[in-house]
Amino acid sequence: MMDAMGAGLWALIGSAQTMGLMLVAVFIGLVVGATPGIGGRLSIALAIPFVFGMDMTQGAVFLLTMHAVNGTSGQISSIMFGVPGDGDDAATTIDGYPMAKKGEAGRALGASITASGVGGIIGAGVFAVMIPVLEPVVLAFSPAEFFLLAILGITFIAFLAGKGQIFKGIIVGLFGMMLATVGMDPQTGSPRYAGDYLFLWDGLSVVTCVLAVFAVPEMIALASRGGSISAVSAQTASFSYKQLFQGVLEVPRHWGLVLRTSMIGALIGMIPGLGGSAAAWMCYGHAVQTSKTPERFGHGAVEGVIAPETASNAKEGGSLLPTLFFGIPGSSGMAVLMGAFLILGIQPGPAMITKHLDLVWTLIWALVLGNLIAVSFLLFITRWVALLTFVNGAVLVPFILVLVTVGAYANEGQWENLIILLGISVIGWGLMRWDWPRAPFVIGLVLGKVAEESLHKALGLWGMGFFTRPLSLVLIAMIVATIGYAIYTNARGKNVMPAGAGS
Amino acid sequence: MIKVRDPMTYFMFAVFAVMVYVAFGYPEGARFMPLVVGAPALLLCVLQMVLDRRAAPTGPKDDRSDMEKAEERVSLMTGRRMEFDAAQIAPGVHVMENEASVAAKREFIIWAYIIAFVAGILILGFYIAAPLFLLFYLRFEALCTWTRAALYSAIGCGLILGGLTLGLKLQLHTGFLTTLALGYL
Repeated sequence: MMDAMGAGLWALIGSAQTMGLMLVAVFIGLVVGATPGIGGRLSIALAIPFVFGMDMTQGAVFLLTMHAVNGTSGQISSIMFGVPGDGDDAATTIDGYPMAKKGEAGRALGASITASGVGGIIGAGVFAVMIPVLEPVVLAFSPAEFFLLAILGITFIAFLAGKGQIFKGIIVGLFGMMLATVGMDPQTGSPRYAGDYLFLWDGLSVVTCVLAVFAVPEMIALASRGGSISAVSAQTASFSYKQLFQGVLEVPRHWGLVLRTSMIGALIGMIPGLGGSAAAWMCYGHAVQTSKTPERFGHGAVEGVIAPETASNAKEGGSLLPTLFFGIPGSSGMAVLMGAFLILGIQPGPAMITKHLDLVWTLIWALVLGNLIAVSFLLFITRWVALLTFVNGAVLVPFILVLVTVGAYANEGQWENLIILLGISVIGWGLMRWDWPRAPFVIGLVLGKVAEESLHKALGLWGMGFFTRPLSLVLIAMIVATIGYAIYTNARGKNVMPAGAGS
Repeated sequence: MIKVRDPMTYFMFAVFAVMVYVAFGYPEGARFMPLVVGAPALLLCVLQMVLDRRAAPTGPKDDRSDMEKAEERVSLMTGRRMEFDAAQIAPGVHVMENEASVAAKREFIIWAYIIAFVAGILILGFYIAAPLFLLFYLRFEALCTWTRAALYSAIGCGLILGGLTLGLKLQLHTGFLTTLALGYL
């Protein structure tokens, strides 16, 4: 373990190229986080084509760092203007913006940026501590369980997509799995759903499909709906650096809360599908409950800024655990990231412990160093990063669409992928338009081939008896319980999770 | 006449039905996975159709602001009545949001741009289609002046296409017509 820990750190800091890529990723992640309309999920999808062909470690470090620091700059508009960038930041707005109204924007920003970084680092620590605990569980899994895990992953994400969405989520996940069967069948060598089109014999390009389902519909929504901050008075955007560093000191002053909310965030991250929004709200509630003066919350309490920020960033470390070891993404952002990892040749599962433990440690170190760099960097450039929140979304749309088409074409160099992009974009837009969750599609698509391989192996080894293996029975029980609970809550009219948690 | 409340359910049903039907024509090993996935998916689509039809046509409209919903959520979580100050965005900050009807009309326009852009790439190639797409989109949709649109377009193409072609040595599609024309020249 210690060897892998050292090797992981050396793979990161011993290579100038990897460190350089990490710095670029931190910069892009912070810029994208503060820019309206481009979420972390979209930025990962856009970056996938450009890491294609990169060294496995460098590509993974680049994408993970970009994803991890994304939320650190996302709270700027929540605190300064009361306009949350996404669901994760909504809880921060409750006390962040009243602080800004009282002339304490700098203090709120200093506290939230530092809390976010510290949360990210503690989240990575929790992940590291869990490795030896989960090692025997991961190694006990066989192909039978990996097939069932793929189904469980889709079920979890579908379950958490919101009220009455479970069947829609599973249907979308199965649609992804169905599209994964396009191409040459690994068992018989006969082409499926490919006809005489040779470019389809290798299967549909995952990059093209991810871009089509996430990037294009998001751009259409951004272009048609608007929603960017178009104007702001100079006075609103001002704060002093003295206040900013006073805010930084609030984090060690509330170390107990920081530690607790980071742990809660990391643990919530480990539950597939819950995501940052749930972590942020639960920890905000925890901060209110444990405060001696709860009446201050909602009127500018600094703990109300610290708690959701530590939690939403700590969950990144936690959600990496089910993603890497079980192939179940912890959130929709992780689902896209997992798709990228598979493209880079990183296969989630027991091999991450038996063969690639040093890579796992490199990713943990990347989370730690990425957050440290992001916080130090952001504290000095917040004033300029804040200006990005005024970028007009309509101006960004065509540039992102050019990037999307280049990405779809470049990863395989085939023009046919542009037609596929257009076709699947229509489906992705339909899913978004009629409020169907899209994250299960990515999981189904990226896990489809693994699930098929595992199913054939399991049937070859145990026949239909693989369903009766003890671990398989546990997973089947979990799938049935998840669906059963969703049906029960739906029938009772209770909302399981905030809408969109898993979308 | 039955009003289709959620066309995606019917679309998904149709896709799975066709894929399952086609799968029956494959050899036994090859059709196994499409059937394992497709059969339950078809059942779920039928179940979803039933749920769609049973769903109340219009639920009570929730007119509360996001902050009021957040107050309720945290109150439920903590067991005490919460009231938040952050009820409105900062004075002097204007958030541009289009109305639903305007947004729907704009969606069609954006789709037209995307389809024309992809067709342009296939016929003329990235190097001609991308600058034209950026120029026209920025001028007519982002309402930039011609000069500014041309400037942004040149910078964007320089960074994206130039950077990728020269930096990452990517070969981009040159377009069927452009390749043909260059062949004649």
